[in-house]
Amino acid sequence: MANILVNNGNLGRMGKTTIAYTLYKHMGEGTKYVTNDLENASIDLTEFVSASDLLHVPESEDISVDDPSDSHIFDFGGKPDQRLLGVAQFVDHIVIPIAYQSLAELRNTMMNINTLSEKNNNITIVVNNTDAGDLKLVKQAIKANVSSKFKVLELNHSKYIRRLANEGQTVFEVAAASKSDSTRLNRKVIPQFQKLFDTLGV
Amino acid sequence: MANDDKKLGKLLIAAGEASAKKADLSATPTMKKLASKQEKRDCRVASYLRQSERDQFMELIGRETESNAIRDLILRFIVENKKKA
Repeated sequence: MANILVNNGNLGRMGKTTIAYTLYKHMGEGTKYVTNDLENASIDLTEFVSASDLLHVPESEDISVDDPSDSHIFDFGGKPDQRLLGVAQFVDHIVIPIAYQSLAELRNTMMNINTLSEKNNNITIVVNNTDAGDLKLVKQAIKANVSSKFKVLELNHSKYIRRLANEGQTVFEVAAASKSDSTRLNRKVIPQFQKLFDTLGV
Repeated sequence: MANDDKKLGKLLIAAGEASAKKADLSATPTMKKLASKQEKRDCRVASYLRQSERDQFMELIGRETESNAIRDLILRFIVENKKKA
């Protein structure tokens, strides 16, 4: 059982839903997918997450966990939500994805890490969808400015990750369907996701 | 390599400065919510006062209601003018 929040404050297009959905698929039965942002998700969650697992929590509603033995993936963000800090306190882990384009994303991410870490210290930062030339440097800059307890992982910029938004397939499903794709994905992207799963203990 | 060092320098400065700040992740109240919390203005043409302003004024002039106060002012005006006449 694990409760995980995937969020980068109010920043959108950081890879929250991609990571949250991949975690949901990996964790399997007994995992609920909780989101406050069905409208702006990169995939149609109503199509890919079973109706019994998908919990849409509009802003006006309180969030309650019906069965504490269930795992929960909280895909929260893209807009201000006063329940966010409460959820951050409740979960076991917070995953903060950053897709670096400019210093603006880095600055906002650092401020969000600072605020969320006041509620929960189990933080994993995932630098994803970032130019290969910037990836290591961004990772280094984040590491130098956060607690050594926080993990800073990377997820390579990959055309296979876009398959989720375009065709509804996680990288694991792509790899399972094609041997040649599997070979390519097993070089970097799948081991990187595996590292995230191991870090979160799922 | 020199370019990477320069880029890293910028990233380190940006990350360092921002890590000393906090993001406000509480929801921003909407205009509607703010409006409902605020005291509404009286819709009557005769008075563009807030209720608290009106009450304060009434207390100041020692009257219970606006109409009594105005009536009193008018009566006083008439009486005083009669005296002068």
